[in-house]
Amino acid sequence: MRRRILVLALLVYAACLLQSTVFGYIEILRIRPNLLLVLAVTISLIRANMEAAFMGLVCGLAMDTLIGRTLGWYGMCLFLVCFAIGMINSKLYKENPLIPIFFVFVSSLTVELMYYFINFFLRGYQDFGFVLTGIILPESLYNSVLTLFVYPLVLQLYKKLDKYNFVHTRL
Amino acid sequence: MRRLFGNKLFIISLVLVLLFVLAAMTASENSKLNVIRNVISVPLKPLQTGINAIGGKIKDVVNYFKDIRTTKAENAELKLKIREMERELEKVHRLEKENENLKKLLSFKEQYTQEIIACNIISKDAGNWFEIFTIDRGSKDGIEVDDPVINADGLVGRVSRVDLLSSKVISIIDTESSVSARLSKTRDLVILRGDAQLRTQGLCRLDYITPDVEVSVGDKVETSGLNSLYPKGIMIGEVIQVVKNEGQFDYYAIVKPSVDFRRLEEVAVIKTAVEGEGDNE
Repeated sequence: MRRRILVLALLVYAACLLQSTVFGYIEILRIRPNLLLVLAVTISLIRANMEAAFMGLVCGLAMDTLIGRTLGWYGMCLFLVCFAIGMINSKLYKENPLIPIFFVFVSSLTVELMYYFINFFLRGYQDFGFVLTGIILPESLYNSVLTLFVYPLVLQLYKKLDKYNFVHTRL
Repeated sequence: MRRLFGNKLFIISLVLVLLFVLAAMTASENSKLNVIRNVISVPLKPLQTGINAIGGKIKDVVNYFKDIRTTKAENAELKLKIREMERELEKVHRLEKENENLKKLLSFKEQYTQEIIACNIISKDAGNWFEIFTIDRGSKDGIEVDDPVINADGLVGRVSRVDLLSSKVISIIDTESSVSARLSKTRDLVILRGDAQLRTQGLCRLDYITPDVEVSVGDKVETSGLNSLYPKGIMIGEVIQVVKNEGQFDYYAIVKPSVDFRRLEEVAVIKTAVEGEGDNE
């Protein structure tokens, strides 16, 4: 268990590092993908709901810290979304590579819309059209592309972890 | 099963309540609870600095060949400029002396003492929502919330959160930022704000300009020094477009900051200390 927590913490740190540095170089049209979101969603696709929810919470809070504003909003959005995915993931046919891509796309849309709603809409900013087409949609698409690389890696990592822990990944 | 579900629901609501409390407590920039950011920011800082240095090296190599072509022409141009500037500098020195003498004559007191801390940017905004970047100095180096940040071209922003080894700087083009500014030509006071749409192009806007204020394209904008956050007279940018809406009392203008936010690499934090009252006789 201890080893497991250590590995997952390192995973989140690595994701933070990539998100804050390397991803600055791969921005397209000033939009960068959200690796922590992709990570949280892919983990919640292969783990049971409570663990999924807490990994979402951790990734979200890490994202909040990286951004440098109020702590907790990304944490909350990802916590709820990952819990929901964790509830239904046992019914999914996960051999299909389109499933993670679809889930990352939909949850990116959901999380970013929630974030926009909390941080901008409720404070009186109303360029919804621009935000949707200029920020949220491109980011969700970019996130989906990123899933192609992240999902197999996370899957491998969890398989390795299970070997040591005898806890079975839901596959 | 039912009990388990009830249990889960309880955990979820508990976490949500805790998150709301956390958000409420950390919303203020000076909040003590902001120390928990250090859990992430302290271990990341050396690695970020390293990666950033490597990235810079790679960029240099890529740009090397491109640069060689443009260097010659630029060199000639710069030499001309230097000559011009030297001439102007002489003038400035003369004026400075004169200014000093006059101030002495008036026994005018300098309002602030300033100390400048040079910083490197180690990471740009991690999400897509804000224009906040991370610099490699923190509370250990004496940086505090609300310290103004500049570079050689002009005003960059202010420090918004301070961690132990790094801090966050919110730039003037962020939607949350507003600066009390002054038009250099007419000395009119205006408010400079970030805009959700303009920020993606590196621009910002002058808001709520009343009809009696004359703004035209090409006007320079500088800080007013009125809200005591930013020192007076720092260059901000230049008006590139004036937008007047039919039937609206006030109008706005679009400003291109003199700082290029996309290519920002080094900045300086100004530590201003109001000269102690003990100095007054």
